[in-house]
Amino acid sequence: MAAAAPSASAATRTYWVAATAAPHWNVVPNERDAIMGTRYQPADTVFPTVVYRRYTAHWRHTLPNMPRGSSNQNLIPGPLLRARVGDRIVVRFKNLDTLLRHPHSMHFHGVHYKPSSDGAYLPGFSGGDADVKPGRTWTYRLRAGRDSAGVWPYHDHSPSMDESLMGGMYGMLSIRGRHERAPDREFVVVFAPMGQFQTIDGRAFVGNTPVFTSRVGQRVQWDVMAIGSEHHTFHVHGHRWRGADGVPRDTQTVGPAESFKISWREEDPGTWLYHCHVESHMMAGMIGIYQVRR
Amino acid sequence: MSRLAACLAAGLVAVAAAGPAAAQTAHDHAGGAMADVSILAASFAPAHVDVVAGDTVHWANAGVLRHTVTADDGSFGSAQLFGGDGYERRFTAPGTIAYHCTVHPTMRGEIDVRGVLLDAPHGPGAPSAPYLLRGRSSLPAGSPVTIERDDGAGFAPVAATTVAAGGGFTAPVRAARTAQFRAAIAGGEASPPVRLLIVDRHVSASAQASVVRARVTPASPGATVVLQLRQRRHFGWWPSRRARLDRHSRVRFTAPVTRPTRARVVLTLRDGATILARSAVVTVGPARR
Repeated sequence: MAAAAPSASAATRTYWVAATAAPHWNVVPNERDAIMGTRYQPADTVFPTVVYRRYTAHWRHTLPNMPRGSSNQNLIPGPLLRARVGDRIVVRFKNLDTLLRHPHSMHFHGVHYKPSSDGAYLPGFSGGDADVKPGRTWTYRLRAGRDSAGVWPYHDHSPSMDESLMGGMYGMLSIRGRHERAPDREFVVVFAPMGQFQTIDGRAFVGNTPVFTSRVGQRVQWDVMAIGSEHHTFHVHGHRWRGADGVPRDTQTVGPAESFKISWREEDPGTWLYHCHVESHMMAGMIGIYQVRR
Repeated sequence: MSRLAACLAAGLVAVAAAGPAAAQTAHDHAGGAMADVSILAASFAPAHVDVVAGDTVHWANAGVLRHTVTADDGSFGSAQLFGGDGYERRFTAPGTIAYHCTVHPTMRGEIDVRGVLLDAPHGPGAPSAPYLLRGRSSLPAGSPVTIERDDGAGFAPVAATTVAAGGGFTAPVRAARTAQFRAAIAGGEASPPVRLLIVDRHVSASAQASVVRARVTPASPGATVVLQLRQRRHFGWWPSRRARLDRHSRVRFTAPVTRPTRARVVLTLRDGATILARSAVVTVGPARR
Protein backbone atom coordinates (compact mmCIF):
# COMPACT_ATOMS: atom_id res chain seq x y z
CA MET A 1 0.00 0.00 0.00
CA ALA A 2 1.05 3.57 -0.47
CA ALA A 3 2.58 5.23 2.50
CA ALA A 4 -0.27 7.33 3.82
CA ALA A 5 2.20 9.45 5.76
CA PRO A 6 0.34 11.40 8.42
CA SER A 7 3.32 13.63 9.12
CA ALA A 8 4.10 16.73 7.11
CA SER A 9 7.59 15.49 6.25
CA ALA A 10 8.33 14.43 2.68
CA ALA A 11 7.59 10.81 1.87
CA THR A 12 7.91 8.42 -1.03
CA ARG A 13 4.49 7.17 -2.07
CA THR A 14 4.38 4.07 -4.21
CA TYR A 15 1.32 3.18 -6.22
CA TRP A 16 0.87 -0.07 -8.17
CA VAL A 17 -1.41 0.61 -11.14
CA ALA A 18 -2.38 -1.43 -14.19
CA ALA A 19 -4.31 -0.93 -17.39
CA THR A 20 -6.94 -3.63 -17.11
CA ALA A 21 -9.99 -4.79 -19.05
CA ALA A 22 -13.53 -3.79 -18.06
CA PRO A 23 -15.24 -6.12 -20.54
CA HIS A 24 -18.83 -5.07 -19.78
CA TRP A 25 -18.80 -1.40 -18.76
CA ASN A 26 -22.38 -0.15 -18.36
CA VAL A 27 -22.89 3.61 -18.79
CA VAL A 28 -26.57 3.44 -17.68
CA PRO A 29 -27.00 0.52 -15.21
CA ASN A 30 -30.53 1.58 -14.16
CA GLU A 31 -31.51 1.64 -17.85
CA ARG A 32 -33.08 5.09 -17.69
CA ASP A 33 -32.84 8.83 -17.82
CA ALA A 34 -35.12 9.21 -14.80
CA ILE A 35 -35.68 12.95 -15.28
CA MET A 36 -36.82 12.73 -18.90
CA GLY A 37 -38.40 9.26 -18.52
CA THR A 38 -36.33 7.78 -21.37
CA ARG A 39 -35.48 4.05 -21.31
CA TYR A 40 -32.20 2.59 -22.53
CA GLN A 41 -31.40 -0.99 -23.55
CA PRO A 42 -28.19 -2.68 -22.34
CA ALA A 43 -27.35 -3.29 -26.02
CA ASP A 44 -26.89 0.49 -26.34
CA THR A 45 -25.15 1.14 -23.00
CA VAL A 46 -22.77 -1.79 -22.36
CA PHE A 47 -19.41 -1.98 -24.07
CA PRO A 48 -15.94 -3.38 -23.48
CA THR A 49 -13.20 -0.98 -22.46
CA VAL A 50 -9.86 -0.66 -20.65
CA VAL A 51 -9.34 1.33 -17.45
CA TYR A 52 -6.68 2.08 -14.83
CA ARG A 53 -7.03 0.18 -11.56
CA ARG A 54 -4.94 0.16 -8.40
CA TYR A 55 -3.33 -3.05 -7.19
CA THR A 56 -1.50 -4.43 -4.20
CA ALA A 57 2.30 -4.72 -4.52
CA HIS A 58 3.52 -6.49 -7.66
CA TRP A 59 -0.01 -6.29 -9.15
CA ARG A 60 -1.07 -9.34 -7.10
CA HIS A 61 -4.63 -8.25 -6.31
CA THR A 62 -6.80 -5.48 -7.61
CA LEU A 63 -7.97 -2.96 -5.00
CA PRO A 64 -11.56 -1.67 -4.83
CA ASN A 65 -12.09 1.48 -6.85
CA MET A 66 -14.76 2.92 -4.56
CA PRO A 67 -13.77 6.17 -2.93
CA ARG A 68 -15.52 6.90 0.39
CA GLY A 69 -18.61 9.01 -0.01
CA SER A 70 -19.41 8.16 -3.61
CA SER A 71 -22.08 5.53 -3.07
CA ASN A 72 -21.57 1.92 -4.14
CA GLN A 73 -19.91 2.75 -7.41
CA ASN A 74 -17.00 1.23 -9.24
CA LEU A 75 -16.41 4.12 -11.59
CA ILE A 76 -14.36 4.70 -14.74
CA PRO A 77 -11.58 7.03 -13.48
CA GLY A 78 -8.49 5.26 -12.23
CA PRO A 79 -7.34 5.53 -8.60
CA LEU A 80 -7.06 8.97 -7.02
CA LEU A 81 -3.29 9.27 -6.48
CA ARG A 82 -2.72 11.35 -3.35
CA ALA A 83 0.50 13.04 -2.25
CA ARG A 84 1.86 16.09 -0.43
CA VAL A 85 4.08 18.84 -1.75
CA GLY A 86 7.68 17.61 -1.38
CA ASP A 87 6.78 13.94 -1.80
CA ARG A 88 8.25 11.57 -4.33
CA ILE A 89 5.60 9.55 -6.15
CA VAL A 90 6.55 6.22 -7.68
CA VAL A 91 3.94 4.74 -10.00
CA ARG A 92 4.64 1.16 -10.96
CA PHE A 93 2.58 0.54 -14.07
CA LYS A 94 1.76 -2.72 -15.83
CA ASN A 95 -0.18 -3.16 -19.05
CA LEU A 96 -2.72 -5.93 -18.34
CA ASP A 97 -4.88 -5.07 -21.36
CA THR A 98 -6.00 -8.52 -22.50
CA LEU A 99 -9.04 -7.07 -24.26
CA LEU A 100 -7.69 -4.79 -27.00
CA ARG A 101 -4.02 -5.73 -26.52
CA HIS A 102 -3.06 -2.10 -27.18
CA PRO A 103 0.08 -0.39 -25.89
CA HIS A 104 -0.64 1.99 -23.00
CA SER A 105 1.14 4.51 -20.80
CA MET A 106 0.59 7.00 -17.98
CA HIS A 107 1.22 10.71 -18.48
CA PHE A 108 0.90 12.97 -15.42
CA HIS A 109 0.05 16.66 -15.32
CA GLY A 110 1.21 19.07 -12.63
CA VAL A 111 4.21 17.19 -11.24
CA HIS A 112 7.96 17.22 -11.91
CA TYR A 113 9.66 14.37 -13.78
CA LYS A 114 12.38 13.48 -16.29
CA PRO A 115 11.47 12.78 -19.95
CA SER A 116 11.68 9.03 -19.20
CA SER A 117 8.62 9.44 -16.95
CA ASP A 118 6.64 11.61 -19.39
CA GLY A 119 4.69 8.66 -20.85
CA ALA A 120 3.99 10.55 -24.10
CA TYR A 121 4.62 8.80 -27.42
CA LEU A 122 6.85 10.67 -29.86
CA PRO A 123 8.39 8.44 -32.54
CA GLY A 124 12.18 8.63 -32.55
CA PHE A 125 12.31 10.39 -29.20
CA SER A 126 10.18 8.69 -26.54
CA GLY A 127 11.19 5.41 -24.89
CA GLY A 128 9.59 2.54 -23.05
CA ASP A 129 7.63 4.92 -20.81
CA ALA A 130 5.37 5.92 -23.69
CA ASP A 131 4.70 2.58 -25.35
CA VAL A 132 4.20 -0.08 -22.68
CA LYS A 133 3.23 -3.22 -24.57
CA PRO A 134 0.75 -5.76 -23.14
CA GLY A 135 2.39 -7.72 -20.31
CA ARG A 136 5.22 -5.17 -19.89
CA THR A 137 5.83 -2.72 -17.04
CA TRP A 138 7.25 0.77 -16.47
CA THR A 139 8.05 2.80 -13.38
CA TYR A 140 7.16 6.49 -13.48
CA ARG A 141 9.14 8.61 -10.99
CA LEU A 142 7.45 11.90 -10.11
CA ARG A 143 8.01 14.69 -7.59
CA ALA A 144 5.38 16.99 -6.14
CA GLY A 145 6.93 20.46 -6.17
CA ARG A 146 5.61 23.58 -4.48
CA ASP A 147 3.88 24.40 -7.77
CA SER A 148 2.20 20.98 -7.82
CA ALA A 149 -0.35 21.67 -5.08
CA GLY A 150 -3.84 21.06 -6.45
CA VAL A 151 -5.58 18.43 -8.53
CA TRP A 152 -4.33 17.23 -11.91
CA PRO A 153 -5.20 14.75 -14.64
CA TYR A 154 -3.26 11.66 -15.60
CA HIS A 155 -4.07 9.74 -18.75
CA ASP A 156 -2.86 7.40 -21.48
CA HIS A 157 -0.51 9.18 -23.91
CA SER A 158 0.68 6.07 -25.79
CA PRO A 159 0.06 5.39 -29.51
CA SER A 160 -3.46 4.23 -28.50
CA MET A 161 -4.24 7.50 -26.65
CA ASP A 162 -7.11 8.57 -28.92
CA GLU A 163 -9.14 5.38 -28.43
CA SER A 164 -8.02 4.92 -24.80
CA LEU A 165 -9.26 8.35 -23.75
CA MET A 166 -12.67 7.71 -25.31
CA GLY A 167 -12.77 4.42 -23.40
CA GLY A 168 -11.87 5.95 -20.03
CA MET A 169 -8.12 5.69 -19.46
CA TYR A 170 -7.77 8.66 -17.15
CA GLY A 171 -7.67 9.54 -13.47
CA MET A 172 -6.59 12.31 -11.09
CA LEU A 173 -3.70 13.30 -8.85
CA SER A 174 -4.59 15.13 -5.64
CA ILE A 175 -1.65 16.93 -4.09
CA ARG A 176 -2.02 18.79 -0.82
CA GLY A 177 0.21 21.53 0.52
CA ARG A 178 2.78 20.61 3.18
CA HIS A 179 0.47 21.65 6.02
CA GLU A 180 -2.90 21.46 4.28
CA ARG A 181 -5.57 19.45 6.13
CA ALA A 182 -7.17 16.54 4.33
CA PRO A 183 -10.88 17.04 3.62
CA ASP A 184 -13.48 14.72 5.20
CA ARG A 185 -14.89 13.94 1.76
CA GLU A 186 -13.10 14.14 -1.59
CA PHE A 187 -15.25 13.69 -4.72
CA VAL A 188 -13.79 13.05 -8.19
CA VAL A 189 -15.83 14.47 -11.07
CA VAL A 190 -14.53 13.75 -14.57
CA PHE A 191 -16.53 15.14 -17.48
CA ALA A 192 -15.97 13.05 -20.64
CA PRO A 193 -17.97 11.90 -23.66
CA MET A 194 -18.59 8.17 -24.14
CA GLY A 195 -20.22 7.27 -27.42
CA GLN A 196 -23.66 8.89 -27.57
CA PHE A 197 -23.50 9.85 -23.87
CA GLN A 198 -21.93 12.71 -21.95
CA THR A 199 -20.68 11.10 -18.77
CA ILE A 200 -19.51 11.89 -15.26
CA ASP A 201 -16.96 9.27 -14.19
CA GLY A 202 -18.13 7.04 -17.06
CA ARG A 203 -21.82 7.06 -16.16
CA ALA A 204 -24.82 8.95 -17.53
CA PHE A 205 -28.03 10.27 -15.89
CA VAL A 206 -29.03 10.61 -12.22
CA GLY A 207 -28.61 7.47 -10.12
CA ASN A 208 -25.96 6.10 -12.49
CA THR A 209 -23.48 8.94 -12.08
CA PRO A 210 -21.91 8.89 -8.60
CA VAL A 211 -24.27 9.59 -5.71
CA PHE A 212 -21.95 11.66 -3.53
CA THR A 213 -22.74 11.80 0.19
CA SER A 214 -21.62 13.89 3.16
CA ARG A 215 -22.81 15.15 6.54
CA VAL A 216 -23.38 18.65 7.85
CA GLY A 217 -20.14 19.94 9.39
CA GLN A 218 -17.85 17.95 7.12
CA ARG A 219 -15.29 19.62 4.90
CA VAL A 220 -16.00 18.44 1.35
CA GLN A 221 -13.68 18.82 -1.63
CA TRP A 222 -14.63 18.40 -5.30
CA ASP A 223 -11.85 17.50 -7.75
CA VAL A 224 -13.13 18.40 -11.21
CA MET A 225 -11.59 17.83 -14.63
CA ALA A 226 -12.56 17.43 -18.29
CA ILE A 227 -11.35 14.91 -20.87
CA GLY A 228 -12.19 15.12 -24.55
CA SER A 229 -12.63 18.05 -26.90
CA GLU A 230 -15.32 20.12 -25.20
CA HIS A 231 -15.65 22.61 -22.35
CA HIS A 232 -17.94 21.95 -19.41
CA THR A 233 -19.44 24.13 -16.69
CA PHE A 234 -19.50 22.50 -13.24
CA HIS A 235 -22.52 23.56 -11.19
CA VAL A 236 -23.71 22.43 -7.74
CA HIS A 237 -27.20 23.34 -6.54
CA GLY A 238 -27.63 25.13 -3.22
CA HIS A 239 -23.91 25.78 -2.69
CA ARG A 240 -21.38 28.49 -3.44
CA TRP A 241 -17.60 28.72 -3.30
CA ARG A 242 -14.98 31.39 -3.92
CA GLY A 243 -13.03 31.44 -7.17
CA ALA A 244 -9.33 32.26 -7.44
CA ASP A 245 -10.32 35.94 -7.62
CA GLY A 246 -12.20 35.68 -4.31
CA VAL A 247 -15.58 36.21 -5.98
CA PRO A 248 -18.39 33.84 -4.91
CA ARG A 249 -19.60 31.51 -7.65
CA ASP A 250 -21.75 28.42 -8.13
CA THR A 251 -20.65 27.44 -11.65
CA GLN A 252 -17.10 27.01 -12.97
CA THR A 253 -15.79 26.23 -16.46
CA VAL A 254 -13.30 23.45 -17.12
CA GLY A 255 -11.75 22.72 -20.54
CA PRO A 256 -10.01 19.62 -21.90
CA ALA A 257 -7.32 18.39 -19.44
CA GLU A 258 -7.94 21.37 -17.17
CA SER A 259 -8.74 20.68 -13.55
CA PHE A 260 -9.64 22.51 -10.34
CA LYS A 261 -10.61 21.76 -6.78
CA ILE A 262 -13.20 23.56 -4.71
CA SER A 263 -14.17 22.99 -1.11
CA TRP A 264 -16.52 24.15 1.60
CA ARG A 265 -17.69 23.21 5.07
CA GLU A 266 -21.08 21.56 4.53
CA GLU A 267 -24.08 23.24 6.14
CA ASP A 268 -26.95 22.53 3.74
CA PRO A 269 -28.70 19.17 4.28
CA GLY A 270 -30.79 17.71 1.48
CA THR A 271 -30.58 16.01 -1.90
CA TRP A 272 -28.96 18.31 -4.43
CA LEU A 273 -28.13 18.14 -8.13
CA TYR A 274 -24.66 18.64 -9.55
CA HIS A 275 -24.19 18.79 -13.31
CA CYS A 276 -22.51 20.28 -16.35
CA HIS A 277 -24.56 23.33 -17.26
CA VAL A 278 -23.90 23.04 -21.00
CA GLU A 279 -27.52 22.11 -21.71
CA SER A 280 -26.82 19.51 -24.40
CA HIS A 281 -24.31 17.77 -22.13
CA MET A 282 -26.75 17.72 -19.22
CA MET A 283 -29.47 16.24 -21.44
CA ALA A 284 -27.02 13.55 -22.64
CA GLY A 285 -26.26 12.39 -19.11
CA MET A 286 -23.89 14.83 -17.34
CA ILE A 287 -25.94 15.15 -14.18
CA GLY A 288 -25.90 13.53 -10.74
CA ILE A 289 -27.09 13.86 -7.15
CA TYR A 290 -25.33 14.89 -3.94
CA GLN A 291 -26.90 13.93 -0.61
CA VAL A 292 -26.09 15.79 2.63
CA ARG A 293 -27.31 14.28 5.89
CA ARG A 294 -27.71 16.15 9.16
CA MET B 1 -20.53 -25.99 -22.49
CA SER B 2 -24.24 -26.07 -21.68
CA ARG B 3 -26.75 -24.98 -24.31
CA LEU B 4 -27.52 -21.87 -22.29
CA ALA B 5 -23.84 -21.02 -21.93
CA ALA B 6 -23.45 -21.41 -25.69
CA CYS B 7 -26.44 -19.13 -26.30
CA LEU B 8 -25.11 -16.63 -23.80
CA ALA B 9 -21.70 -16.62 -25.45
CA ALA B 10 -23.28 -16.13 -28.86
CA GLY B 11 -25.53 -13.37 -27.56
CA LEU B 12 -22.57 -11.61 -26.05
CA VAL B 13 -20.83 -11.22 -29.34
CA ALA B 14 -23.56 -8.80 -30.35
CA VAL B 15 -23.32 -6.96 -27.04
CA ALA B 16 -19.54 -6.70 -27.15
CA ALA B 17 -19.62 -5.42 -30.72
CA ALA B 18 -21.74 -2.45 -29.71
CA GLY B 19 -19.00 -0.16 -28.48
CA PRO B 20 -19.71 3.39 -27.38
CA ALA B 21 -18.45 4.91 -30.57
CA ALA B 22 -19.68 1.94 -32.55
CA ALA B 23 -23.32 2.66 -31.79
CA GLN B 24 -25.01 1.98 -35.09
CA THR B 25 -28.32 3.71 -34.83
CA ALA B 26 -30.99 3.92 -37.46
CA HIS B 27 -33.19 6.97 -37.26
CA ASP B 28 -35.52 8.77 -39.60
CA HIS B 29 -33.94 10.65 -42.41
CA ALA B 30 -35.44 12.16 -45.51
CA GLY B 31 -35.72 9.35 -48.06
CA GLY B 32 -34.56 6.47 -45.86
CA ALA B 33 -32.88 5.78 -42.55
CA MET B 34 -29.49 6.98 -41.35
CA ALA B 35 -26.74 4.62 -40.24
CA ASP B 36 -23.84 5.99 -38.19
CA VAL B 37 -20.20 4.95 -38.44
CA SER B 38 -17.57 6.29 -36.05
CA ILE B 39 -14.07 6.88 -37.32
CA LEU B 40 -11.68 5.93 -34.52
CA ALA B 41 -7.89 6.23 -34.35
CA ALA B 42 -7.25 3.20 -36.53
CA SER B 43 -10.62 1.73 -37.49
CA PHE B 44 -14.13 2.32 -38.75
CA ALA B 45 -16.71 1.24 -36.18
CA PRO B 46 -18.67 -0.71 -37.13
CA ALA B 47 -16.54 -1.78 -40.07
CA HIS B 48 -19.45 -3.58 -41.75
CA VAL B 49 -22.81 -1.86 -42.11
CA ASP B 50 -25.98 -3.29 -43.67
CA VAL B 51 -28.35 -0.66 -45.08
CA VAL B 52 -31.51 -0.68 -47.16
CA ALA B 53 -31.28 0.92 -50.61
CA GLY B 54 -32.14 4.60 -50.12
CA ASP B 55 -30.50 4.82 -46.67
CA THR B 56 -27.79 7.34 -45.83
CA VAL B 57 -24.58 6.48 -44.02
CA HIS B 58 -23.04 9.18 -41.83
CA TRP B 59 -19.38 8.92 -40.86
CA ALA B 60 -18.16 10.99 -37.88
CA ASN B 61 -14.50 11.40 -37.01
CA ALA B 62 -14.65 10.76 -33.25
CA GLY B 63 -10.90 11.01 -32.78
CA VAL B 64 -8.20 13.61 -33.27
CA LEU B 65 -6.44 12.10 -36.30
CA ARG B 66 -7.07 13.04 -39.95
CA HIS B 67 -8.91 10.46 -42.06
CA THR B 68 -10.88 10.03 -45.30
CA VAL B 69 -13.77 7.82 -46.41
CA THR B 70 -12.87 6.70 -49.94
CA ALA B 71 -14.56 4.01 -52.06
CA ASP B 72 -12.16 1.35 -53.36
CA ASP B 73 -13.78 1.66 -56.82
CA GLY B 74 -13.51 5.45 -56.75
CA SER B 75 -17.30 5.92 -56.84
CA PHE B 76 -17.18 8.36 -53.91
CA GLY B 77 -14.72 9.96 -51.54
CA SER B 78 -14.79 12.44 -48.71
CA ALA B 79 -12.51 15.41 -48.24
CA GLN B 80 -9.96 15.25 -45.41
CA LEU B 81 -11.90 14.71 -42.19
CA PHE B 82 -10.37 16.25 -39.09
CA GLY B 83 -11.55 15.50 -35.52
CA GLY B 84 -15.26 16.34 -35.24
CA ASP B 85 -15.79 16.42 -39.02
CA GLY B 86 -18.44 14.28 -40.67
CA TYR B 87 -19.30 12.94 -44.13
CA GLU B 88 -22.44 11.35 -45.44
CA ARG B 89 -23.63 9.57 -48.56
CA ARG B 90 -26.93 8.06 -49.66
CA PHE B 91 -26.78 4.58 -51.20
CA THR B 92 -29.49 3.71 -53.72
CA ALA B 93 -28.08 0.80 -55.74
CA PRO B 94 -27.97 -2.68 -54.12
CA GLY B 95 -24.50 -4.22 -53.80
CA THR B 96 -21.43 -4.29 -51.60
CA ILE B 97 -19.18 -1.23 -51.55
CA ALA B 98 -15.73 -1.49 -49.97
CA TYR B 99 -14.03 1.68 -48.75
CA HIS B 100 -10.86 2.72 -46.95
CA CYS B 101 -8.98 5.68 -45.49
CA THR B 102 -6.36 7.09 -47.88
CA VAL B 103 -4.27 8.37 -44.94
CA HIS B 104 -4.31 4.97 -43.19
CA PRO B 105 -4.90 2.35 -45.93
CA THR B 106 -5.20 -0.47 -43.37
CA MET B 107 -8.43 1.15 -42.17
CA ARG B 108 -11.11 -0.61 -44.19
CA GLY B 109 -14.90 -0.77 -44.15
CA GLU B 110 -17.81 -2.13 -46.11
CA ILE B 111 -21.37 -1.02 -46.83
CA ASP B 112 -23.82 -3.74 -47.85
CA VAL B 113 -26.80 -2.18 -49.64
CA ARG B 114 -29.82 -4.51 -49.59
CA GLY B 115 -33.46 -4.72 -50.59
CA VAL B 116 -34.57 -5.98 -47.17
CA LEU B 117 -33.24 -6.06 -43.59
CA LEU B 118 -34.48 -7.56 -40.32
CA ASP B 119 -33.72 -5.68 -37.07
CA ALA B 120 -31.83 -7.66 -34.44
CA PRO B 121 -34.25 -8.67 -31.65
CA HIS B 122 -33.99 -6.27 -28.69
CA GLY B 123 -34.21 -8.96 -26.03
CA PRO B 124 -34.74 -12.68 -25.57
CA GLY B 125 -38.14 -14.34 -26.11
CA ALA B 126 -40.00 -17.05 -24.18
CA PRO B 127 -40.62 -20.54 -25.62
CA SER B 128 -43.44 -20.53 -28.21
CA ALA B 129 -44.65 -17.07 -27.16
CA PRO B 130 -45.34 -14.49 -29.89
CA TYR B 131 -42.39 -12.22 -30.61
CA LEU B 132 -42.69 -9.21 -32.90
CA LEU B 133 -39.90 -9.00 -35.47
CA ARG B 134 -39.34 -5.69 -37.28
CA GLY B 135 -37.63 -4.91 -40.53
CA ARG B 136 -37.35 -2.52 -43.45
CA SER B 137 -37.41 -2.84 -47.23
CA SER B 138 -36.75 -0.62 -50.21
CA LEU B 139 -39.77 -2.12 -52.00
CA PRO B 140 -42.95 -0.03 -52.42
CA ALA B 141 -45.74 -0.19 -49.80
CA GLY B 142 -47.84 -3.32 -50.12
CA SER B 143 -45.02 -5.53 -51.43
CA PRO B 144 -45.02 -9.02 -49.87
CA VAL B 145 -42.29 -10.12 -47.41
CA THR B 146 -41.83 -13.71 -46.25
CA ILE B 147 -40.32 -14.42 -42.81
CA GLU B 148 -38.27 -17.61 -42.70
CA ARG B 149 -37.01 -19.56 -39.68
CA ASP B 150 -34.07 -21.93 -39.36
CA ASP B 151 -34.21 -24.36 -36.41
CA GLY B 152 -31.11 -26.13 -37.64
CA ALA B 153 -32.61 -27.83 -40.70
CA GLY B 154 -32.50 -24.87 -43.07
CA PHE B 155 -34.74 -21.84 -43.61
CA ALA B 156 -38.46 -22.41 -44.14
CA PRO B 157 -41.30 -19.85 -44.35
CA VAL B 158 -43.18 -19.23 -41.08
CA ALA B 159 -44.96 -15.89 -41.61
CA ALA B 160 -45.99 -13.47 -44.34
CA THR B 161 -46.39 -9.71 -44.13
CA THR B 162 -46.34 -6.64 -46.37
CA VAL B 163 -44.24 -3.50 -46.54
CA ALA B 164 -45.97 -0.50 -44.92
CA ALA B 165 -45.78 3.12 -46.06
CA GLY B 166 -42.28 4.33 -45.12
CA GLY B 167 -40.66 0.95 -45.82
CA GLY B 168 -41.12 -0.75 -42.42
CA PHE B 169 -42.78 -4.08 -41.74
CA THR B 170 -43.54 -6.20 -38.67
CA ALA B 171 -44.31 -9.89 -38.24
CA PRO B 172 -45.22 -11.87 -35.10
CA VAL B 173 -43.26 -15.12 -34.94
CA ARG B 174 -42.89 -17.99 -32.46
CA ALA B 175 -39.99 -20.31 -31.69
CA ALA B 176 -39.75 -23.20 -29.25
CA ARG B 177 -36.00 -22.72 -28.94
CA THR B 178 -33.31 -20.30 -30.11
CA ALA B 179 -33.56 -19.92 -33.89
CA GLN B 180 -32.41 -17.77 -36.79
CA PHE B 181 -34.84 -15.67 -38.79
CA ARG B 182 -34.55 -13.86 -42.10
CA ALA B 183 -36.85 -11.87 -44.38
CA ALA B 184 -37.19 -12.75 -48.08
CA ILE B 185 -38.57 -10.64 -50.91
CA ALA B 186 -39.43 -11.21 -54.56
CA GLY B 187 -36.46 -12.00 -56.74
CA GLY B 188 -34.97 -14.44 -54.24
CA GLU B 189 -33.22 -11.83 -52.09
CA ALA B 190 -33.07 -12.48 -48.34
CA SER B 191 -31.85 -10.37 -45.43
CA PRO B 192 -28.87 -11.44 -43.32
CA PRO B 193 -30.18 -13.76 -40.57
CA VAL B 194 -30.84 -12.52 -37.03
CA ARG B 195 -30.85 -14.74 -33.96
CA LEU B 196 -33.80 -14.79 -31.58
CA LEU B 197 -32.61 -16.03 -28.21
CA ILE B 198 -35.28 -18.15 -26.46
CA VAL B 199 -34.85 -18.46 -22.72
CA ASP B 200 -36.87 -20.87 -20.60
CA ARG B 201 -35.06 -20.25 -17.31
CA HIS B 202 -36.83 -19.59 -14.01
CA VAL B 203 -35.25 -17.81 -11.05
CA SER B 204 -36.57 -18.42 -7.52
CA ALA B 205 -35.25 -16.31 -4.65
CA SER B 206 -35.69 -16.12 -0.88
CA ALA B 207 -34.37 -13.68 1.69
CA GLN B 208 -33.33 -14.04 5.31
CA ALA B 209 -32.15 -10.78 6.90
CA SER B 210 -29.56 -9.43 4.46
CA VAL B 211 -28.88 -12.77 2.75
CA VAL B 212 -30.58 -13.58 -0.55
CA ARG B 213 -30.45 -17.14 -1.89
CA ALA B 214 -31.53 -17.95 -5.43
CA ARG B 215 -31.76 -20.95 -7.72
CA VAL B 216 -32.11 -21.11 -11.50
CA THR B 217 -33.99 -23.96 -13.22
CA PRO B 218 -33.34 -25.78 -15.48
CA ALA B 219 -29.80 -25.91 -14.06
CA SER B 220 -27.43 -23.32 -15.58
CA PRO B 221 -24.17 -23.61 -13.61
CA GLY B 222 -21.71 -20.86 -14.37
CA ALA B 223 -24.32 -18.45 -15.74
CA THR B 224 -24.19 -14.83 -14.57
CA VAL B 225 -26.67 -13.66 -11.92
CA VAL B 226 -27.06 -10.20 -10.45
CA LEU B 227 -28.59 -9.05 -7.16
CA GLN B 228 -30.63 -5.94 -7.91
CA LEU B 229 -31.85 -3.55 -5.20
CA ARG B 230 -34.69 -1.05 -5.59
CA GLN B 231 -33.05 2.13 -4.33
CA ARG B 232 -34.46 5.64 -4.45
CA ARG B 233 -31.06 7.25 -4.89
CA HIS B 234 -30.49 5.10 -7.98
CA PHE B 235 -33.96 5.84 -9.44
CA GLY B 236 -34.84 2.20 -10.13
CA TRP B 237 -33.39 -1.30 -9.96
CA TRP B 238 -29.68 -1.08 -9.24
CA PRO B 239 -27.13 -3.89 -9.82
CA SER B 240 -25.58 -4.37 -6.39
CA ARG B 241 -23.71 -7.69 -6.57
CA ARG B 242 -22.75 -9.96 -9.47
CA ALA B 243 -21.87 -13.67 -9.28
CA ARG B 244 -21.81 -16.93 -11.20
CA LEU B 245 -24.19 -19.77 -10.37
CA ASP B 246 -22.44 -22.61 -8.56
CA ARG B 247 -22.44 -26.21 -9.84
CA HIS B 248 -25.87 -26.74 -8.27
CA SER B 249 -27.21 -23.69 -10.16
CA ARG B 250 -27.50 -21.75 -6.87
CA VAL B 251 -26.15 -18.43 -5.60
CA ARG B 252 -25.96 -16.64 -2.24
CA PHE B 253 -25.73 -12.87 -1.95
CA THR B 254 -25.32 -10.59 1.05
CA ALA B 255 -27.13 -7.34 0.36
CA PRO B 256 -25.36 -4.17 1.53
CA VAL B 257 -28.44 -2.59 3.09
CA THR B 258 -29.09 -0.67 6.30
CA ARG B 259 -32.90 -0.70 6.07
CA PRO B 260 -35.56 -3.01 4.59
CA THR B 261 -35.10 -2.90 0.82
CA ARG B 262 -36.82 -4.62 -2.10
CA ALA B 263 -34.49 -7.01 -3.93
CA ARG B 264 -34.59 -9.46 -6.82
CA VAL B 265 -32.15 -11.78 -8.55
CA VAL B 266 -31.85 -11.67 -12.35
CA LEU B 267 -30.21 -14.11 -14.74
CA THR B 268 -28.28 -12.15 -17.37
CA LEU B 269 -25.97 -12.52 -20.30
CA ARG B 270 -22.31 -12.36 -19.32
CA ASP B 271 -22.59 -8.55 -19.56
CA GLY B 272 -24.47 -8.59 -16.23
CA ALA B 273 -27.02 -6.25 -17.83
CA THR B 274 -29.13 -8.02 -20.48
CA ILE B 275 -31.83 -9.75 -18.42
CA LEU B 276 -32.90 -13.27 -19.42
CA ALA B 277 -35.10 -14.08 -16.41
CA ARG B 278 -35.95 -12.40 -13.09
CA SER B 279 -37.07 -13.66 -9.70
CA ALA B 280 -40.06 -12.40 -7.73
CA VAL B 281 -39.30 -9.42 -5.50
CA VAL B 282 -38.18 -10.22 -1.92
CA THR B 283 -37.42 -7.88 0.96
CA VAL B 284 -33.96 -7.80 2.53
CA GLY B 285 -33.04 -6.02 5.74
CA PRO B 286 -30.02 -5.53 7.97
CA ALA B 287 -28.94 -8.66 9.83
CA ARG B 288 -30.36 -8.84 13.38
CA ARG B 289 -27.77 -8.70 16.13
